[in-house]
Amino acid sequence: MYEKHLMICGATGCLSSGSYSVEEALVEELEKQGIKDKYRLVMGGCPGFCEVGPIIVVYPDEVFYCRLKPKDMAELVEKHLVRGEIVERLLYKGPDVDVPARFYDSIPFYHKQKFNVLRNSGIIDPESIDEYIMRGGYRAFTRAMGMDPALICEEVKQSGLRGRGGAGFSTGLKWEFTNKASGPKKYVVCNADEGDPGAFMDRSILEGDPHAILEGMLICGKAIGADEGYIYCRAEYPLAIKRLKIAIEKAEVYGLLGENILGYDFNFKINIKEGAGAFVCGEETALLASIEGKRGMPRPRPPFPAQSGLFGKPTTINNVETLANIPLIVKEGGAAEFAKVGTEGSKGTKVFALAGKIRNTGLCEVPMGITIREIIYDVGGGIKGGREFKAVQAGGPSGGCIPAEQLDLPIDYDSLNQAGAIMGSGGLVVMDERTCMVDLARYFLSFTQKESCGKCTPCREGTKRMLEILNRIAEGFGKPEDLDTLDSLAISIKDSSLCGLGQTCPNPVLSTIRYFRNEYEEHIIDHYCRAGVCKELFNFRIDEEKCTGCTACVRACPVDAIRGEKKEPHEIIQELCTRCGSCVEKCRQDCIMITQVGRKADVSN
Amino acid sequence: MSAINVTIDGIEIDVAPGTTILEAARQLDRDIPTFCYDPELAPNGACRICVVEVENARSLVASCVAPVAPGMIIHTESERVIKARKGILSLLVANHPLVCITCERTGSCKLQDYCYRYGVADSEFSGEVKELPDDDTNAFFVRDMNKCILCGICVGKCQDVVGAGAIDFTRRGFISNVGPPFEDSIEDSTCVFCGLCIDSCPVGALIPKYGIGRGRPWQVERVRAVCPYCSVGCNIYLHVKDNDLIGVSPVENNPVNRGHLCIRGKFGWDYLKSDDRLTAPLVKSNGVFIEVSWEEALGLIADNFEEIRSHYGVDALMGLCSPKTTNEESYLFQKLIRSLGTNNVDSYTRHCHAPMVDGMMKSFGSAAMTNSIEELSTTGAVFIVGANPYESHPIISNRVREAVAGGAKLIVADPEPIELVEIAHHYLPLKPGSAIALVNAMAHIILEEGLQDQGFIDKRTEGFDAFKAAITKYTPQYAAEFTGIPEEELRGAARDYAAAENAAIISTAGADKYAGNTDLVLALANLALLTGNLGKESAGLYLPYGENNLQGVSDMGALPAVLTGYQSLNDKVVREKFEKAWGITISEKPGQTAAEVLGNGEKSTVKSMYILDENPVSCSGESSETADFLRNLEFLVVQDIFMTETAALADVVLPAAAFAEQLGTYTNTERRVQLSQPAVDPPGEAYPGWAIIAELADWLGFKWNYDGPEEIFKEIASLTPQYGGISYERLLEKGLQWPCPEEGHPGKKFLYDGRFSRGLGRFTAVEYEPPEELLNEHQAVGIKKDRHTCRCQSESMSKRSVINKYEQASKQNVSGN
Amino acid sequence: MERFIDHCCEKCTHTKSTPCKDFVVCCVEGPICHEDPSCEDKRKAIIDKVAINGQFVIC
Repeated sequence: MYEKHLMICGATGCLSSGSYSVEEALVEELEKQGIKDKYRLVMGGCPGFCEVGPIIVVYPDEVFYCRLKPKDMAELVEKHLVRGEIVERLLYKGPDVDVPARFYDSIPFYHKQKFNVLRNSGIIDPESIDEYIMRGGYRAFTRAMGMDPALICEEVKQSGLRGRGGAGFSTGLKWEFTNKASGPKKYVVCNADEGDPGAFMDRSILEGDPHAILEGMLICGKAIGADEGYIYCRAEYPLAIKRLKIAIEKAEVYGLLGENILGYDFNFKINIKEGAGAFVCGEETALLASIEGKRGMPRPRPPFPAQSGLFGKPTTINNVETLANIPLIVKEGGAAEFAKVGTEGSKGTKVFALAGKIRNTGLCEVPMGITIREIIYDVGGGIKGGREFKAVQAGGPSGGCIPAEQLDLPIDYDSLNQAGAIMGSGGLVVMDERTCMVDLARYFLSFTQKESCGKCTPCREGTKRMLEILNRIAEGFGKPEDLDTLDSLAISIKDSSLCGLGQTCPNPVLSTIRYFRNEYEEHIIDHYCRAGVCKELFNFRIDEEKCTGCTACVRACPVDAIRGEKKEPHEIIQELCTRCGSCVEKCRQDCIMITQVGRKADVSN
Repeated sequence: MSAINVTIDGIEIDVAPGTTILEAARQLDRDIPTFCYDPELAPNGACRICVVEVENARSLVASCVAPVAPGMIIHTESERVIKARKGILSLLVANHPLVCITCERTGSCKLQDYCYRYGVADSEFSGEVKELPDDDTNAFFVRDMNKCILCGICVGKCQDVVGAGAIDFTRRGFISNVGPPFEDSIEDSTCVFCGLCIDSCPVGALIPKYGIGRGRPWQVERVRAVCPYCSVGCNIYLHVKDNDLIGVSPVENNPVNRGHLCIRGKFGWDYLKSDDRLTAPLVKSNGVFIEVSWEEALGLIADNFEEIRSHYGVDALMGLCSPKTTNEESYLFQKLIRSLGTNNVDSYTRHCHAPMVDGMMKSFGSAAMTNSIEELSTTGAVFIVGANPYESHPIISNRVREAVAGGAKLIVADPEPIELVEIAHHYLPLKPGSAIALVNAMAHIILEEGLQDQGFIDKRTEGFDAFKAAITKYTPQYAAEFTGIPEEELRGAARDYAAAENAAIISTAGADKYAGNTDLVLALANLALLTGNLGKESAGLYLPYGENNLQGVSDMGALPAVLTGYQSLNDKVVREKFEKAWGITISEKPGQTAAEVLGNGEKSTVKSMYILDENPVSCSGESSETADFLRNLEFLVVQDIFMTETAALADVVLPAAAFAEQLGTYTNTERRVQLSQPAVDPPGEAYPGWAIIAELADWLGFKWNYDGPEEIFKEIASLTPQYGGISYERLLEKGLQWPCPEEGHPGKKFLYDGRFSRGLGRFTAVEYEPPEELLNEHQAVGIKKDRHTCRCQSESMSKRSVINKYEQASKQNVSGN
Repeated sequence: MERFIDHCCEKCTHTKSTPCKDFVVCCVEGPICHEDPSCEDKRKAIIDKVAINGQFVIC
């Protein structure tokens, strides 16, 4: 028996904050003290609070240590492990707590969260099948084995689960279509391509709780009558692939994959197919083409995958998060319990990736129906640096932005659609007044233009032309008719593209124009970018009255464009200024303002 | 299932379930524009120009892929639709070089047409335009990828229809392109230059090099002709401007090639313009050829023939008839020889195919192909042994691919993994020379497992019991000793062949030389008889000939023992019929065969030959016995379009017109008589062959006085039962397959639905005999080379064409060098 | 018994090729097919090794 268990976050965010070095230091320290065998160290899944990583959670003491560095390990070992005293210095501190918080229940980031899909992430060793079983794993599958397949589909329908990959189609209904399709051979496909830039919800599930996916696929296989499944996982997730392979191997050894599983007349085999770096392969039919060894280009529907999918056989394709919900739903009483959470049209929880100008970045799992305001301010801790909330981009390159007026919008599929955004995979990029909406649209569109597979004219050519217009606007060459052209082109592309990528990629443009038209007009007519992003369209100016002459900015400027003596108000020489913003970062008086470009001559050609 | 009712632009129509909106609209003559749609390919839905408005649908619907649903209300030209189409065109034009003034496709370009239709004069988007380098490296066509609109039809044709797989989409986003892997040049790819991509490209991205600058689409006259290369007889359009041939394209709607061609038909026609063309009659004087007038040449021939006849007897004369020229010419040729009093007329090439013919005769009573090429598309199983259609008859290979895509099982037995092996369900890599053992073992398995069609065997065949007894020893294990094919694999293949509702066998003349062709054909015929795969559609035995009119030259009686339509010389009634029609006496004595004569050398009784468009010297070699024999003839006349190796040995050389320069019919390997129109004038003083022969006949005292080829054909039809109902008038519409005994008869797609030519089909047991010498590598190589391209006569054409380099290269590949 | 797949005693028959329907539930709540406190203890030992707190196991 171990005295204590130390769950070290080994997922993306913390890894890039240095959790490997932290772990190394910890091991070193324990070995130095000769006490390593008393403690179980697990490089586990993501506890979600990436902003404060690296994180170590100590059980059974239930202590949450964060913002760790290798040099902290000596104290942690000595004080907490050896002497049993909590190291307050390493606990969570922030403007949202009065005293350092000890565990999840006292950290505001976690208050409104509900862990369904992330139930095991960060708590179990992802490479252990036993721990998954201890936590109730494979029980839903055992129950499903004794059920009529149509009944399983019915239960999933009753739960109200909708596809978490973005489209939000009723999962139970999708399964039912494939269940009804005829033919001895059918497939289950798990879409683990997660192409939205910055999204890592699925990654966390795959890395932190891979068996949940296997169980979800097994149950799906039973429900639709399939005996084989594919997990299409992007190659940029080598750890996820490694964990999946280990999970599959162990499940096979345990007889949970293979033939005559648990003695029933049911066989199931899972293959892993790695992606090759194409966003478009997250689209169902392109994904299937890719598994078939062909170029990942979407196919027209009908026929739908439920009738003719992988290798021409009836196929169900589900997203990772969708599948991770299935064991919760199919367990005894699970569907009703699941449906208790969420709104009328959107049941259950959703994992969101909070990013951008928000204080608490990371992953959170919240019930559907939570308002944007709650996510931004209660879960997210509000806007960083004391600035104002401007908008939040929901749904990545396919989504739209939601402005401050809509802060009380409940997050569910239908409300988001009506507001011009989409649920998407769950990426939420928060913006403050220093985010330029034109630039935001440009950023997403340049992504989708590069990722467009090239098959259909509107997407391949249309996104390029939209991007060219946006670039011109951002560089100060916008024309008054550009907004109408963008609008008309966007609608045209939406209306006639072949696949979801084309049909949704104009959304960022349409929604930013809808809610921030004045910003576009400022760019075009006034040649002014009030957010201070489009370099040709603003100047930095020092407010002489507020400037204390500390020379911080003078020293920070990489091109020596700021002139000023100590204690004298400084001045920016516009001809030299590259508008990189280094001075703004250093200024303690917050006295560097964004202003319109003075004379026309200042606008560079 | 019941029909579905939809409304298109206010008009109601009932269509079959599964019909797409586009197909339904076309039934109502609604012209929905398309770029990426092609009826041969799976619906693509890529270009989006075909979008239509469907009431209550979420967005505009691509009509080429969307199936109709009951009660659908569709608007094909609503405002919303027009706006979307204009948008698409505007986007395409923004990234397309607007060089219509000099573009070869101006006037026949879909992008141009639709822009005109929707009033898109220029693009509202002035931004980046792609600047890709031309792929100009190969000899045949230019790929100007800046004009490409990425419709993907070329990719579909290359990958799915032909199977060359030379191109696909590359890169993505704005810089998407179409090309070979790793952006190699097309020359270094697996492209077979069949031209399908060129012929289906809706814009000017793919242009044949030869025609550049030579004529605008509306200046070009398209003359319908028949390809002169292989026995498929593809229907082609010859593109002519000012009496100059500048290009070839396939005829879309015809049951033979249906819009397909291969490199020979598409690009191999430039030999017509070779400097080597014979343009004047030549007489050899002191070892050197001098040009003479027609009178002189023909007079000389007449004199010499007379002299030889009187000196040695009439059987000292012999005619070798071409498998490449028209039926009319072949007919007149044998008529002339017979008018001279001898039956010494044969075709040299025919003797390559003779063993195959013998086999068919023995089993069915006729060597004619049992089924038609188009039926292959709908067969249930294909068994290919000793053939490589991808190389020798690409049109047939395309059909096989189509059959497989439709669910047919493909079995390929070949020592080498030929291209079709890629899509085969069973690949049997048998040892060279062992095919008979393999086929016998398949028959054994079929009998063992009770998969034969006993009803057919009982009613329609004879000799079954002896065959069954002979097959007993050909167990899979026994055969495996010779073939090297494991039992399981052979069983699987045999089962799939026998289980299909209709199954076809494809082999070629010259199959498996070392085992003796006749025997293999007999073995294959046994297999077809065993499983009842004769006398019905999409079944049968396909042994396609090499040369384009080999069927015709035989049909025309250019054979020593029969007259036209294989009517026997022995038959008094037949002889009398011809004697009456020709006004001469026909000798009863059968003539000698080409093999006999050329093989006999010095001992031969033949002293003089008239060779029509044949080149025995090239086949057998300059220093062969054949060449010596020809060299030592007393008088040799050669009629050809080039100074071939054989013509070089002649005393008189007569310049003939080539296929594009004369009117006439050709009969392809599936018994289809097709009319080929002349497009250009023959060079210099060359004449159509029929006219030369008629003129010579006149010199020899036979007054024929034909108006032209049509009159000749009328005579042929009147004397040949199989051709009885065929006339030029009917042929102008489409080709007809014999037997077509009377006017109004539609021609016969497949044979033996009632009885075989000999009454009952005949089983003939054949034993496998291992080759005498152990096959060394060279001999095995020899087999491969001979087997795959039995077109030695066409070499004189392809050698002088731009396709020569490619043909040589592919032959190298085939022979394993 | 190091892992759940290892048999607690000879009475356990579950393997990949001879599966037992109750395997999954038996891992934590077993043995099911027979009664034996020492088999119970073996399972408990596996669980206790990794159970981080009282709520770790979910039945």
